[in-house]
This record gives sequence, C-alpha cells and structure tokens, in this order.
Amino acid sequence: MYLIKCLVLAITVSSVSTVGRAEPVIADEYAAVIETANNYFIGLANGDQDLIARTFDMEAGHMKRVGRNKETGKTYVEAVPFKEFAAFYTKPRAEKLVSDIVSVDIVDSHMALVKLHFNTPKVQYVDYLVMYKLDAGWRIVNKTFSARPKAD
Amino acid sequence: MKKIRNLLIGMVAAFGMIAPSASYADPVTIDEYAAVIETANNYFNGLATGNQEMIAKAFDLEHGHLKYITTDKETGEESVRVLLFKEFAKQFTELKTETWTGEIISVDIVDNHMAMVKMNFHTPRTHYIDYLVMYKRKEGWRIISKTFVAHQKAKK
Repeated sequence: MYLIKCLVLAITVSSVSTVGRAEPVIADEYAAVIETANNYFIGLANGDQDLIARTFDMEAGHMKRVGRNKETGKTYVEAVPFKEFAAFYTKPRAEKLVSDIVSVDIVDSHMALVKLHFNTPKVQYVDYLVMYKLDAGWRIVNKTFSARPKAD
Repeated sequence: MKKIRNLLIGMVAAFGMIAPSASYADPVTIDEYAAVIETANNYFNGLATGNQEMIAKAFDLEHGHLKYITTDKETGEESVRVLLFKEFAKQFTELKTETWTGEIISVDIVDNHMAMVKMNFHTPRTHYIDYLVMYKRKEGWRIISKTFVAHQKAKK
C-alpha cells in the first residue's frame, strides 16, 4: 500500500512539473506581415526606395489596376511591374497620407493578404496586398486597389 | 378647442401620408456576391473538367497571372515564378478522372469593383489553398491573380 502511495505521488509530481515547464509559442508572422504592409505605406509616402525594396518582390510583383479609355469609354486592366511602379516614388509626398490596416489573413505562415486603407486628402484607396514569405522575408507579389474619391 | 382638434386631425392625416410610403420601402440586395462566387466556381469547374470556355469566363487571360514559390534545386534559393493565365489554362484540356473538391472559405468585395476569394481546392494527393483576386469588368468578374499554398496529403 505504501509503495502504491509513493508511486501515485511520484507520477503526480512528475506530471505537475512537466505542465509547469510548458512553453507557449506564438507564431510571430502576424507582426512580420504588418511590418511589410507598413513598410509599403511608409516607403511610398516618403519615396524611400530602400524601404520599398524591402516590401515589394521587384522581380515577380505587379500592380494591377482597371483603367478607362477616354475615347472609347472601355475599361481595361493594366499590369505594371513593381520595378516600374516603384520608380514613381522617389520623393516624400507633401500632402498628408494616412494608412489603416483593415484586415490580415495568413495561410500556413507562408502566404498572406492584407487589406489596407490608403488615405490621401482627395482619395481613399482600398488595397489588397498579396504576399509570399520568401527567404528574405514577406514580400508583396500583387497589389490591386479600388479608389474612392472623397467629397470636397 | 376646435383649432386643436383640427390640428390633430391634420397631423394624423399627414402621418397617414407618410405611413404608406414606409410600407413601400423597397429593399435592394446587391447581387455581386453571387456573381463573384459564380466566377470562383467557373474557375474550379473549368479546371476540373478541362472546359476552356468556362476557364475563359473565370480568368482574365490577357492580364492575369499565377504566381507561386519555387526552390532552386542547386542553390536552395526561393523565388516567385510567374505564369500568364493563358499559358496556365492550356494545361487543362481534359476531364479529370479523379475527384476534385472545391470549397469557398471566404469572400470579400470592395465597392462592387474588386473582390478576393479564399478557396480550398482538394485533389486526391494535394490540398491547395487559393487566393483569387478579381476585378469586375464589363463582361463580368474576372480573376486577375491566383496565388496558393499546397499541402501534400498523407498516403492512405
């Protein structure tokens, strides 16, 4: 009986100490994805090419937008490689720009979508930024947007 | 006293004119959600059955890209490979004999103009999770970007 009591006590102590050492691990991809989205915004706002390069996949990324032909009125999709798109942003913008992340979705710490409001004084852009995680970190591979002109 | 009564009658009559208007309230449901789902289903069914017409109703074949991560076998370096939809679509010309299952996980639509569908795409060996980004064109919603994550399933 004494032996059984000792055995039960030993098992209890050992399991309690194991539980006590349990180490919670939080995947930190969320913070890394948000950092890339913020670098995107700050890079474009400040014309900071180094920051932009840490955001966009310059080789494979595209900005895609719907344009309208002024003469025919027909719409078309334009796909601009990021290296061309980024070349427009070389100086800090004089106007005030405000960003606001609406939502973040991450799949298997590998692929992510950030929905972001990009406010200029005249227009609110709603961006979808699709990212892949590469050796160098999270990089945007697609940017699409919808533009909402603001009332004067 | 008579003036107050007339005023009350006038107010009731005025309310009577307003009340029927309220009962005519006409709820308007924007049906873009159904149209976006239809495009996602055309994408899945088009690939599964090798139906090129259906694929053409899902993809923007001129401007759309499939993008995925590849690893260089020699250097081990990762990079993103880009394939035009018109090239990708050519690989799907026959009905698949195996069972494929599509399942829409979420839909997001911005201003009836831009949409994002997250979708499970199961083949017997692989579970893909797709992001399909769409723009609304004159001819309907078209996928302009597909990215995915793939999981190999355990052999049974």
